[in-house]
Amino acid sequence: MSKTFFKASNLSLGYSNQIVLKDLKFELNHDQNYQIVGKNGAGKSTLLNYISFNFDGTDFNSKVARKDVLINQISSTKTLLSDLTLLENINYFSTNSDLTEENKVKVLQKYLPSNYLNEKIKNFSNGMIRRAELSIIEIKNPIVFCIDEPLNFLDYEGVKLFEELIRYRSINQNCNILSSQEYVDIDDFNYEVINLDEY
Amino acid sequence: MNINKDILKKEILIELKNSSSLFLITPTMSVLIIVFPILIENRFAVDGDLFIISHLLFLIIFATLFAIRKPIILENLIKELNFGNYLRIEFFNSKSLAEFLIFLPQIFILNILFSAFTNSSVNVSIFYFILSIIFFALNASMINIIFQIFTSFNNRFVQFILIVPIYLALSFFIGPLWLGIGQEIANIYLLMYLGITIFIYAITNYYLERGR
Repeated sequence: MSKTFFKASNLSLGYSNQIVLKDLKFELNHDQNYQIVGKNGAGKSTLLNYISFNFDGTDFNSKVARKDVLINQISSTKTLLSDLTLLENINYFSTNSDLTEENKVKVLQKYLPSNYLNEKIKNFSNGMIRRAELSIIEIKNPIVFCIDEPLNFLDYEGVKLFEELIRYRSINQNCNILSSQEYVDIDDFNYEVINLDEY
Repeated sequence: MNINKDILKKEILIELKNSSSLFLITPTMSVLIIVFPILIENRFAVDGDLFIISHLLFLIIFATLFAIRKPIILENLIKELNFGNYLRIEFFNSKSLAEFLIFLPQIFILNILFSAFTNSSVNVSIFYFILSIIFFALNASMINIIFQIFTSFNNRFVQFILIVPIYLALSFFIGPLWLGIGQEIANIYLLMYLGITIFIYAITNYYLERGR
């Protein structure tokens, strides 16, 4: 059975009439890791959003073959709902997880202290939001995990938790797609590079 | 019908916790617009010279209140649904039901206050009354969604100013239905309202689904 979940033969992406990415040709397998690199404005976030169905521009009728796999993305801006508490957010965003609420809280406690559980997200710092989103990814364990500027907002401990999550997912042969200006160096993490500066 | 209880719960929770919640605004606005003038003039009920066109005023209050909705920013919404792995149709149906459940108590508050202070009553059957609320709730949530699809700003004040006339137009159907027209004319109004609802429902679903 093919492991390819995304295959683009002439992918062009843009906003209105402006082309950001032109004629990309690549394929993604759900048991491999990838790093999308490129300078500012190269189209890293655009490509990542397109892969994870969050793209709201135009694809100029590009030819793309997709397989329906569970994809989750952490973007550079927060996805969690500001008016709800952390626990309510965890429950809302991880309904298709097999874990019980108790186990979800256990996973969450790795990333944030439990006294934040009933705190509203609007009182959280960007780093705490990033940690909460990472915990949701661990709870849901999607087949494909995309993250934009992965080290943004995270402190030393947060970076270690992120690296641990990525390593755990790699061992379990899940796909991680990281997008940043420079390569993110993680021990025991093998990846393929999509360098947008070359296109 | 694809209704997701988690989305429904989230929508109602957000409405209850939101600082501009209708559960807070409706009683406040009612006091400001209906009760205050009565208290100031030491009256017991609204009469002709206080609200000359009281029915129209009611519609304006009604439309103004419901235009104070949390704006839907399509980009964020899509991100949220993808992160939670929810289908767009699930969101749309659950959101419509949530809006209905949120609007229902507000409508009762307004109607009771209006009836009490203008000495008028609802002149159609309860079946028509509930149908008109369902149509209004559906249209209100759909217009909120459509509005965010066609416009890129997320300024609540501008949204409020632009949405009020649209809601006002919708209220022109619901107002007469509640406030005193004959059953035969009510049939026509309800049929027109149904047509508008189906039309807007089709457009909203088309725009929500086409991106996928």
